[in-house]
Amino acid sequence: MTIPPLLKTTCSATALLLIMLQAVRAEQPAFSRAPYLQLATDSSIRIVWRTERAITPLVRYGKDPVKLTGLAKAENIIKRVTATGESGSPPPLHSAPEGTRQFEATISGLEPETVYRYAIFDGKKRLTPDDPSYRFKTHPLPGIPRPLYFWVVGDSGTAGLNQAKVHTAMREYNKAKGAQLDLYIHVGDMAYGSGTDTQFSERFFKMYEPTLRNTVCWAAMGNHEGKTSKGADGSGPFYDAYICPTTGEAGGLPSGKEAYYSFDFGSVHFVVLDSHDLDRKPGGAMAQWLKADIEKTKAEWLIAYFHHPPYTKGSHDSDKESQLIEMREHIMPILEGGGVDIVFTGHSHIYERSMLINGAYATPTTAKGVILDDGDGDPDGDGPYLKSKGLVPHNGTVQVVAGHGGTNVSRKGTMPIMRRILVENGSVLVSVKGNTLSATMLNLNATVRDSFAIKKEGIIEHSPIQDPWQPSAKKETKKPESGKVIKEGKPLPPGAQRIIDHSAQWRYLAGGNHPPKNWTTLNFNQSSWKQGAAGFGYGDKDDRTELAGMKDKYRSVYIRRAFKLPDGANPAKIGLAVSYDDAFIAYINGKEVCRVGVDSGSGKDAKGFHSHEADKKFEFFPLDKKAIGALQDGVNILAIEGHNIKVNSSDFTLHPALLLVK
Amino acid sequence: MRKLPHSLLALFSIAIFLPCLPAHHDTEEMIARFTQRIESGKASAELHYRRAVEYRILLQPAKAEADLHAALEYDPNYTPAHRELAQLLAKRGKPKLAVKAARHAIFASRNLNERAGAMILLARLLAASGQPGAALRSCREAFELKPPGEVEWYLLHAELLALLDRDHERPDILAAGYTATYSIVLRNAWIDALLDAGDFKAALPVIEQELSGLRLKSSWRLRHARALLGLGRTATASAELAACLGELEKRIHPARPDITLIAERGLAHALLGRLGAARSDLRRARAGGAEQWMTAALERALSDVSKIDRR
Ligand SMILES: [Fe+2]
Repeated sequence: MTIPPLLKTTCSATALLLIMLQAVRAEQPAFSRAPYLQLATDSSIRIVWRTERAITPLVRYGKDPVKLTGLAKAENIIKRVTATGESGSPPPLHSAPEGTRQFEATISGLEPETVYRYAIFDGKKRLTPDDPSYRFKTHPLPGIPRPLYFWVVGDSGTAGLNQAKVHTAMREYNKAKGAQLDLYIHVGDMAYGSGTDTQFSERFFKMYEPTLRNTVCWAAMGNHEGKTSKGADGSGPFYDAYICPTTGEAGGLPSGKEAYYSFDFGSVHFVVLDSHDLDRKPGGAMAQWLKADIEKTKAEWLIAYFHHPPYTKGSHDSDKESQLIEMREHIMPILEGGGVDIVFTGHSHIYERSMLINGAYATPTTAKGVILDDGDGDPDGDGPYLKSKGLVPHNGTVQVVAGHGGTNVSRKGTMPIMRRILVENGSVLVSVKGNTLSATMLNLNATVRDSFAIKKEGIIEHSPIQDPWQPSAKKETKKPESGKVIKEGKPLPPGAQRIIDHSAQWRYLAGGNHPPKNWTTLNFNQSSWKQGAAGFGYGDKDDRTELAGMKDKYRSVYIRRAFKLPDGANPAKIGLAVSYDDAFIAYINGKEVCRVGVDSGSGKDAKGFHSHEADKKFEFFPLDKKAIGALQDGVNILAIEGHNIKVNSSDFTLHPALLLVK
Repeated sequence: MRKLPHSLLALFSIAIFLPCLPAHHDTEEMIARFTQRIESGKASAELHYRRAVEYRILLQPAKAEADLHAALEYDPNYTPAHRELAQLLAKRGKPKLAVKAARHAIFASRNLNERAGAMILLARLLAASGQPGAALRSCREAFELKPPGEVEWYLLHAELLALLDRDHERPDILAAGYTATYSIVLRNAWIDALLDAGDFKAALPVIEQELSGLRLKSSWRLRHARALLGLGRTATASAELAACLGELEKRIHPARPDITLIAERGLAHALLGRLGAARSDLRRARAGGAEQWMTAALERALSDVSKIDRR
């Protein structure tokens, strides 16, 4: 029998996959959940791991990596299994795979602010490699000011590429800066779609494994974990995964529940709330605990986090949804009355960061009477937000929605208290040093997209700004009739090489005529077309080739230009950088490779345009996969048709460049 | 056999899980998706229930209620729908129907844990519909089913005792809860219960110890003043109340106050005999949605002062 070539390729790929998978299976991993850290204090830590087979668990640890002199013996390590054991045994795991053993070792009697190396053993057999990344650092003593550096992630749990990129971006950024995380906070939705045990293993523990082995993740529960875990009694895969303080053992007051708790890192006090499935009213047990807890803390900084954002217009709307409204109306007054400095949340798949605000509890949220500082908070821009020393009630809060840790991002509208709104994946890195808290939003390409700081000095008295700065409104775009999603550009990738420069010469056809069908191909005779430098347009003073007669006369312009690929260039890395108003379609050698803001058709038959302002900004569009097939050695043709939404529009811009990204 | 490099394994896990990635939508889109599935003949109790939850989140209770009834038509024993319905009906001002739904939730519960939870729900609904005695019985049955209970259950238990004028039983319940859970809320409620029961001597040392370690002291200054007044130390109590009011003025947002602080300020005014200010704060706290127990001490103080005035 003859096997068709395609099938042959598929078969050999499958065979290879199977061989590789068998290789993995034959070498059964020591851990079904690799070791991770929990519940760090100034004198203790928990190390947790899972195996699928019986072992004699031991943990060796010590300050000297060569001599791990400390020992946690099997009898001091809690072992949890899937089925209920005899009475008095630790609570069974909620829904772990049959045969799972979860080990929870408490290492105590440690020195504060000290780095220890650790290793996990099965009897005499060492299970973790001799690698400096298996380490932990105890917290400083409460109240003692020490630098703190932590990572904030939300809504990440897809196990997809973007989640992985956000994680890698953080690691590379820190490596380049020589910085190490002290802790990691997750604001929920870390295991889509239902926070099952398997989803936790695959979409959280596996994805962040190298970070989790030496950094405690202090988590708040999201609604997706809430499908299988219950805050009321601390049951389910979320509560199997995390060991949260209930008796005030990490600082703060005992909550009696793992669902909400507090912990200290030196002079920074963190409070973590369950905004999903517990009473959010001011009389509820959680709010009562919160009030008591923040009345007691004597920290210099107060940081709160939970899943549902009090202020957002990302993929969720805090003016319309009950959990978000309740967190704003009931919980924010308690937090601000206790002097909270910053609040991190997720749920809404976007990055939104506020100005310095106070008292914004009304529904709907407006900027009236609630903005204390409308600057950008950027030390290199308008300067940091200023607050009084210590925790002073109603002295200003910054809200950060960090629901952009891995899943699809989107935006519904404009939240008027926000200073920065970014619809892209990323995470937030926060440093607290002395009297300054600094934060940066790092996107998935490790580019810093937002920076702000809060500085505390002396006594600062704020009063609300009468007419504060306002974020520009989200442009209303009607939904494409065809049901197609309107493509949105990305920020320009750093360090890209220009194949066609922004100021390159192009051939162009303007004046209301439409070209013949073959105008996008290599062989088309362009000799009758005019020549001009990019960009093309009118009305917004951003055009090198001004199309003075375009307004009220015609709305489409056609441009084309030849280019050659640099030697050894990877065609998959080519993309367009375009500043445009309102829409365009790009072709390479006659094949359509990018369509933005046009629902259907092309040329004179193009239909369904969507409004877009150029704003003198370039957006990046990776080319469709078919572009790779259309490219050839030697000369290629890039052809672009630009369309204005209306013939009487006040401006038009078509300004492209072709990039080769790293 | 050679181990696969870590990065390759990571890529594998991504490749394997990509096809089954869940799509993430906002609340309105979730409703549209559920509707589409329901209308394409795939309706089930779970689908109607899930759409009801989204409607509840979007503050559309009528649609949520309709969906919950639809869910129960598909499966009359679908416990989550009974529970959700009971809470929704109570919020919609239908206490009798809410109690009925909670009883169904008890009947349909699949394990002891669920049953105990449904008992607590029933207790809350009975209390809200003016039947504290029946509520107390239901609450105690829940404790029997799940002996350690939960933080909120102890608070409810004590609240029901207060409604039945059995204040003297409250301290022991709350102390037991504190011992079982370590919750500071139960410890503080225990102190309040001691004060309500007139056991000022037992409360005073705990209050004084607590006061020494606090950053914001208003709520404990109030407790302190109540104990001092109970022990006849009026002058010290007045000084404590003045200090309490001073702190509260800094913490209460003038336009948008935290109602728990308003209730505290009202109580301080009442204990100082400033009845007009106390009544004004009581109105404000109630208008802001304060639950009955949150203003109970303030109301009691106001009624005590009026009794003295009448004498
Ligand atoms: Fe969420």
